[in-house]
Amino acid sequence: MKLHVSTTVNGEPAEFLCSAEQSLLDVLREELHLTGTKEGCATGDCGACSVVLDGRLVCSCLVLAPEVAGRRVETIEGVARGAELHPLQRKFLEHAALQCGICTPGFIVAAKALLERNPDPSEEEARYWLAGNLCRCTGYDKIIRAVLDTASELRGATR
Amino acid sequence: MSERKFRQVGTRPIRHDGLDKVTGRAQFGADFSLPGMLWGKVLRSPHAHARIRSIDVSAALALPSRRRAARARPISATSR
Repeated sequence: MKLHVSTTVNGEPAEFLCSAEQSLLDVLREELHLTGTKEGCATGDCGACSVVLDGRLVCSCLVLAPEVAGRRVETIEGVARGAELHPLQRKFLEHAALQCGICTPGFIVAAKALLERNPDPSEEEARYWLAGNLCRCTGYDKIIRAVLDTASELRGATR
Repeated sequence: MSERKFRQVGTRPIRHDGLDKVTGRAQFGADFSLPGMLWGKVLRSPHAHARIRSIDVSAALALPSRRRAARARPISATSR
């Protein structure tokens, strides 16, 4: 039996049909065609499927799709404002903080959640927060630099 | 030594596919689908360099939506 679910995705109302055991990741990719959210492990280890659910950073592979009824889901597709990149996206490009790009949407979604909670993270705090996101290409240093540089730019902008 | 002017060396170019990758627009293999697309799965030998004695495709045949299960023959020395 299919369940009918109404939710909000990136600020827009969205509806889908899903089975009770389907994951949010599955529905985002297969039903809503938002394939920016990646499946890495499907067991909550790699963070490639990171999304924000009612303000909380989660692995969408560990969330059941019917759970998002009436809630707000934010994905990588909602991070840029139209053609204008989010500062994190710009800094990831400038610092070459991505290579193959599979982990990148998850890192950007997770880093955005970090900076919204803590606009001035130490390197250790940033590394700890992003420990749930795995990257096999970059060696993490460039990602951390991009995140810390974004944080300082955003702090400068609000001062 | 004379100063040489390079166009690329010493610059920090932004990767050409970077914009698509940071916005989630990049289409990787798993992000791509076509109407009526079929999905395949390769059943590999659990042992390296072993002689294939039998292949059990019963699990694939039991899937409700399966179209076809192809059985491989051992690759002979001549076909390498």
